[in-house]
Amino acid sequence: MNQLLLLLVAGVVLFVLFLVLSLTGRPRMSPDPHRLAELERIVPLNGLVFNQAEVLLNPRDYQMLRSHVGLQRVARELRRDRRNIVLLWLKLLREDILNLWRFRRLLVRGGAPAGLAEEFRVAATSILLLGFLLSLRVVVAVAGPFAVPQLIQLAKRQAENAYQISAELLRRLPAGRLAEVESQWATRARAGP
Amino acid sequence: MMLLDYMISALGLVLVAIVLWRGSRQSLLRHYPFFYSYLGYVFALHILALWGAQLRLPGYALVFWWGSAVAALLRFFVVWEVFRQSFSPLQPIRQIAGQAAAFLVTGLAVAVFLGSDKLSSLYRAESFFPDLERKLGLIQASLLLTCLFLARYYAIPLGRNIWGLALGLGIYLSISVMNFSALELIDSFLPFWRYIRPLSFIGMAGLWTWALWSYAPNPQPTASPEVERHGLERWRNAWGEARTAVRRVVGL
Repeated sequence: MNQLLLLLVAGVVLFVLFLVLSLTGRPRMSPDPHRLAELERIVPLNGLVFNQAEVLLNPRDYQMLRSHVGLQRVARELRRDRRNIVLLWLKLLREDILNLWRFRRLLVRGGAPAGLAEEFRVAATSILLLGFLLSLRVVVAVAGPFAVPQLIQLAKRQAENAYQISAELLRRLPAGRLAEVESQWATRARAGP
Repeated sequence: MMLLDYMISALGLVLVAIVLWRGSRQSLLRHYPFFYSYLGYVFALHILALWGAQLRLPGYALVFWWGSAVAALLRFFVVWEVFRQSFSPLQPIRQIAGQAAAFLVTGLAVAVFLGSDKLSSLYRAESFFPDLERKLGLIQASLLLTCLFLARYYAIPLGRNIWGLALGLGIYLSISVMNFSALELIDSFLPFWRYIRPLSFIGMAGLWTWALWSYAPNPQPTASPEVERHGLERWRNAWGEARTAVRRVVGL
């Protein structure tokens, strides 16, 4: 009886762990650092290069200023400035996602092999992420920069994933096609979105 | 057998047949021989089960259960396939993974077989097979989970074939462990158990159909130009030393 109960619990635990694994996806080949650097060189990613998100979203200095009666006006100004910076950063992240998505389409057109399922997944993830970033901007504009720091960090991690996926596709581009894709991208960038 | 039972069995059989057909068309059989040996056996057993149930052969139930017990043992072939494909013999991690697997198998086998409440139950036919399914299922699912966790921990990339294979079997086995435990614990569970197992088998076969539709092996890391250059230099030095040694020996 005891052992049966233990086995039942073990079965439930194993089932949950397998489900968690299936939801997190299979371990994939980490992109070559050369490709990451190459991607960064071709596509300017102004939002993703910012790596001080923790400092920006930390409310400690704001709380410290607010706790002093004489410094409350300064605290309000700091909060407003921070909110504007976070909004600007979220806008840059949105542009990065759009740029990576456009660049990906250019890579596929340039001959990088990608299946329909993969393309659909990337498109769906990009649309969801763009929607998520837009909602975060609304929340930050209304509730301030310190309201949802974890969600903003989550959005950044997702944007980093999109970056790595694009770098992985760049690795698959047939040899000798990079220069052509790069020049097409530069022409597009000059023409504007 | 009711019509619903036939339909469930037939669907499982069709899916297994599709996996085998795709395997032979895409030459997957030579890449994953252990897995396809198991699957071939399961396919034959399924056909025999359907045929035996139709003809109401005497001793059919016993043959079916013994056949299922052999299939449960053959599932170790699939676990081995996942292990050997995920951890290449050239990688030092294979030794770590092998030791972890051996430790896990020994520990679990001692815990579940020797630590049994009633060892005598092993010798009663009606509880022997569910008991075997539960215990082997627990060991095999734990082994698969260990492989998948180690692959994630050491960032070993897995291809669609092995990923789907391991995940499908793992989910099926964990449901099987739950199912066979609940069966003896809760009497009211009896009407459900005969459907849960075949339906989870269909889920597994469906996942395998997707995963093994075409050959998608585990990606092999490519050496960077620096590593290749370093390797070439080492080879040159070794070759130079060998030539000097040969000259010295022959007195040139």
